[in-house]
Amino acid sequence: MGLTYRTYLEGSRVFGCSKCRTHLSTTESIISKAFQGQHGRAYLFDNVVNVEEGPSEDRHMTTGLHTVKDISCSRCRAVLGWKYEKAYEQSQRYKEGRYILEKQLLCEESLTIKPLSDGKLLTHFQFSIQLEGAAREGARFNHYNLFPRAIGQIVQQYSARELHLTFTQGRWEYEKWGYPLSFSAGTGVELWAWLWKNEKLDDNWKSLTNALAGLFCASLNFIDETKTVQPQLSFRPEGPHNDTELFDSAELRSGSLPHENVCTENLTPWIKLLPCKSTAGIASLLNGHELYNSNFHSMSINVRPICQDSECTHQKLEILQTLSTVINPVRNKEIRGIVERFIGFSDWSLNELYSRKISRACPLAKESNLLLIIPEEGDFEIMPEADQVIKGETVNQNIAIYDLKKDPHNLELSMKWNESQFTYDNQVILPRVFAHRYFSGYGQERGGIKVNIFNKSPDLTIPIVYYDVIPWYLKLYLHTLKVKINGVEVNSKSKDYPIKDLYYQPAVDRSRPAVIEALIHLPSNSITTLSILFDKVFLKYTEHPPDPNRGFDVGPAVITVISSNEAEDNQKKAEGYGLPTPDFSMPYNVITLTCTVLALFFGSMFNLLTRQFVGLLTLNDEKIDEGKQDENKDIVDRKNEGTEKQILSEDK
Amino acid sequence: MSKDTDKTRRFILISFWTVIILALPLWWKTTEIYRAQLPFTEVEQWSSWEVSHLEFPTLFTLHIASKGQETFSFKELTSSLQEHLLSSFNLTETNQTIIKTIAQFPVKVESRPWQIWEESESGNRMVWVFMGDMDLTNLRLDSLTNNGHYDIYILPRADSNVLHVRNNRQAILQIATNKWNRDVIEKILAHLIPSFFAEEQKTIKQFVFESSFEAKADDPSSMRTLKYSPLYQITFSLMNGDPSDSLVDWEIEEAVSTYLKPFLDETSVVSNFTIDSQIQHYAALTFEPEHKTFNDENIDDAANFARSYYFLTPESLPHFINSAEWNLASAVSSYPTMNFILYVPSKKQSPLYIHDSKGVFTENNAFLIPRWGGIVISNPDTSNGTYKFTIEELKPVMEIFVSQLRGLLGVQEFKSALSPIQLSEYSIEINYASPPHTAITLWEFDNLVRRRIAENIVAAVSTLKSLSQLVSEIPNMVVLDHIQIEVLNALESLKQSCISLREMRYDLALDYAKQAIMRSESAFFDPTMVSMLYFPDEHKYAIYMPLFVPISVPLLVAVIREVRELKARKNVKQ
Repeated sequence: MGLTYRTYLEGSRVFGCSKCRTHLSTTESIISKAFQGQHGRAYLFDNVVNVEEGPSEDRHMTTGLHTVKDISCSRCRAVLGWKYEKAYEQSQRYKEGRYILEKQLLCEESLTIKPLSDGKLLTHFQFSIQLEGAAREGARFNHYNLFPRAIGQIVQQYSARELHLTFTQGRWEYEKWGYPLSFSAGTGVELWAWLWKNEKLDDNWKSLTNALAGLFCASLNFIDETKTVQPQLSFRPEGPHNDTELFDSAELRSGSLPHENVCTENLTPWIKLLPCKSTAGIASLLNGHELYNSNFHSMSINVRPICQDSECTHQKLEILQTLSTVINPVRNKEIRGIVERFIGFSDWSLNELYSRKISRACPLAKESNLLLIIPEEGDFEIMPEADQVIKGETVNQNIAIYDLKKDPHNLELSMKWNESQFTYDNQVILPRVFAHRYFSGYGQERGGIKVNIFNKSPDLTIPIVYYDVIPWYLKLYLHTLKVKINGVEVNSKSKDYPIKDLYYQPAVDRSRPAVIEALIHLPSNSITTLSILFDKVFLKYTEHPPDPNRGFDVGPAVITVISSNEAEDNQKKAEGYGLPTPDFSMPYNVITLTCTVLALFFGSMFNLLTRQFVGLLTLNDEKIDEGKQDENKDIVDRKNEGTEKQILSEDK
Repeated sequence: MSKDTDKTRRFILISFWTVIILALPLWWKTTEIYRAQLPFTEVEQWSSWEVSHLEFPTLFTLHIASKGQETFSFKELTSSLQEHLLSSFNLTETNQTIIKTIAQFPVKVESRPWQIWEESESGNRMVWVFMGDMDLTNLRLDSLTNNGHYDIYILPRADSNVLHVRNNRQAILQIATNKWNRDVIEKILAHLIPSFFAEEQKTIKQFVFESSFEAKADDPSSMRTLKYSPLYQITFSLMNGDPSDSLVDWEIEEAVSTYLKPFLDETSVVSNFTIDSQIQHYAALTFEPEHKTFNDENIDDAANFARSYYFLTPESLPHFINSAEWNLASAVSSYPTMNFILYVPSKKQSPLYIHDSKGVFTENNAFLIPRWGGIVISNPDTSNGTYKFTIEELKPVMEIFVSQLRGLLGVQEFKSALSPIQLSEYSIEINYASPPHTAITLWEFDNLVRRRIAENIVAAVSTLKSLSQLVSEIPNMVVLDHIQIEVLNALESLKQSCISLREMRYDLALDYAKQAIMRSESAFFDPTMVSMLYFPDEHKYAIYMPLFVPISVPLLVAVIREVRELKARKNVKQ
């Protein structure tokens, strides 16, 4: 190996190695900014200098199989990203010979806007803040700058390795909207955390839920042991980990509250965690009034460690706050009557969507971008012109980027469609894997769960993990678990049986829920149906919620698609379920009724014991009852005395 | 036959009633609310201070310079001084005789000669080494005393009387040689010693007074001090008015370990501390500060503008903290928090100063919020867009914070206690040793310990009193066994604390006092005490009424009938 020379670059903005500041590339060489690296956002570059390439290897990525080489800094040997050698899918060929550099920023914000095929609009806010040197177990860190102190304290105090909390309202429609930009969650609140193993782990989990409940004004403290589960296959950490080290040092706890309503009182503390709050930057758009007037709303906090070098000897703690909403400009216009009928229904502008404006970028963010994913077809006009247009993940997709740092003042982004009428697109491209879950059966006694999982891939068998938590008041029967593929039942002994691994935790009344986790290989282009039966439990009267006739919510099932490199999360809706509801005035009725019966019984017994019942004395009787004359005489005597007598009826 | 049946009937009736009468207590017992017996009388005795009283003994060792033989009788000096001190120590301004007996301050004086000469270099002649104006600040004197035990070194001096108060439990009194006699020394000491403790005694009496008579006094210093807690959280916040003007940063970690750590280590005997810090941006004020402009014709407009400033008035200071927007609360702990805020105003509101009620700048541009924390406003030069407070720049800020922290913890300024002393006959110059790096002298520390002991004991007693009142007033309250145990333990700790006080073992007394307050509060705030209704009596009667009424009617009727019959039979017999 000869001498390595370092090249120095000139350009509007130079990208350097995060550790040693060696020049790597310039903004002019960026092809796409919309890549997901191992730890966060990554850019695709045309050309990169001062790097060394590693050996080539095959990797499965979200977009298919690729041959790649890791690249590292020629000066400090830190791994920076990878180089695409070969892409096996035609649509991904443009990446060949190009470089991915992963981004390392202490604080950044971005807003992604994506028009969806049914005229709705997805807006996705993302804020990321990193904290040096606090990611290890037992690390003490007391001095905070941009990283929110409240979250840092919680993570340290309750020794959490990773923490994920999501508040969701509404349902993400996979069939219409495709996969969401961040990991989605079911309706309600979902919390999962990897906690460092120690003797106080369960106490820590309890305190963690309580602290978060206080911080976000949510009923997270109701995630008690009856709602807490330890998934075995799902919810792998997002941060760097290897399995043996992970299971030795940490444990997973997860819980969800499907019935929780999400409202501005949860949003306000969430905004307060941002370094610029809602005063500047894209967060100034966050108007609770408009956010909750949407078809779907999901707000999350993810705290996870991220690597700083290739060996992961140094880690940072990152907090990623995301907020996704699906807004329906068509409906909002109808309600407001802003435009004439049928014209410009799906037009939108930022000001119209949020009734607010971005006045300037957050001065604390190193980067502040607005990304608009441009629809592939249609006749439209985007105002103003983008600072830069880059390639998206597919060939035809383009992304317009507006750098708020560069042109900060009053960005008024708008999009106008030149069409006389909005037509709903019936030809939607379905995502590869999606699912439906139903409850079956009728009556107050029994029921069943049925899940249809669709694999739309024409030639790939896709392995997934199906994860479902059923509350203890639905008693599952594992022997009734049946699997059908395209409507044909498959025997568990047959080699086509799709369930390769099954983990089942039976419920214990009033102390833990039932958990099903199954590793399923979905055959190509198929519908796999799982069904299982259960009994409904008659609850104690104190166990019913204040609105028992509304029914009980069963949390969403989670489907994790496993690919060799990354995992897609795909979560399904929460279901409402009715249980037999008693009459709640019953306890007092029962007491009163029982007492009355007892009193009646006592009264008659007492009377039987203390009274004598005698037939009336007649002449005929006298003759017949010769033998009882003595006694009768006695009665007559007494009657003569003028006192009425009750005489014990003695056995004769 | 009739006699027989009557008998059996009566027998049945009686057996029914016997069963019912025997069963009644059982029913009463099983449906009763569980109430562990609390030591009400003992608590009552404590709250009226019949069991014990607080005693804060002090011992003074007088080291009197002597040349071999005593120039006057030390013994006479100590005995007459002790008598004098005892009477003046227990003089109360409020004239409350009750308090006089509750809080007592016995004092003991002992004396020993102090051999302070040494051989002169020239030969075997002995000389007074410390005569004249010799430097006493660096004089090393052995100090092995505990809290409550003080050394006073007395030696002659050429011209005037000087008192040197040192940072440990020592003071050096120099008396002019022409006044070197027993009378003068006694008079001076008799005035000096009580003045060391006057403030402290006042506070302690105040505590006792407030708790015994439920009266609140408007003493600003007692309102400033936070309630005792075994752990306090200290949060330093750098509030930046507008980060688009300038980004600020500070070297707080280094500043805390340099300037604050020694103080906290010293006071950790009394309470522990956790420290954290944060930087909050966009920390806007909820109100617009007032603007002061100048219209001086001698200088141009730009200079006039440069002189203009914004200011806060004493009336606006209570609204300074924007607790809704500034993330000051802790999510993980329920211990009391002390907040210290360094506020950097936004450009359009700077420079920002604080005016006092007379419209004059305050000295430090800082203020204290009682029982909450302290605020310092800083107007750094932020023209280049970023500003970093270095550890040197934080020094004056941290000094203010430390003095505010002293106030919040209840450390009484020892200097202020002594300054008004001016003897009519003898003028005494008072010198203080330069403050130690821990920012607290042993005199002040002892004071703090004694004050916290008194406060904890009084608070524990009043908590127990409230608990017993509550329990006796609400008969439906469940009292479990562990509450009883906590209360008994708290009383035991109180007793131990008072005994240790009497023995002048203040460290031990503080430990016991801490235990007493923690146990009494854990009993008072126990979650089982909150759920008042287990089964209130009204419910009990409501539920059993449908059973008892229909059962009792035939029984009663049978009894009445039987009685009537007996009477009738008696009449017949007669």
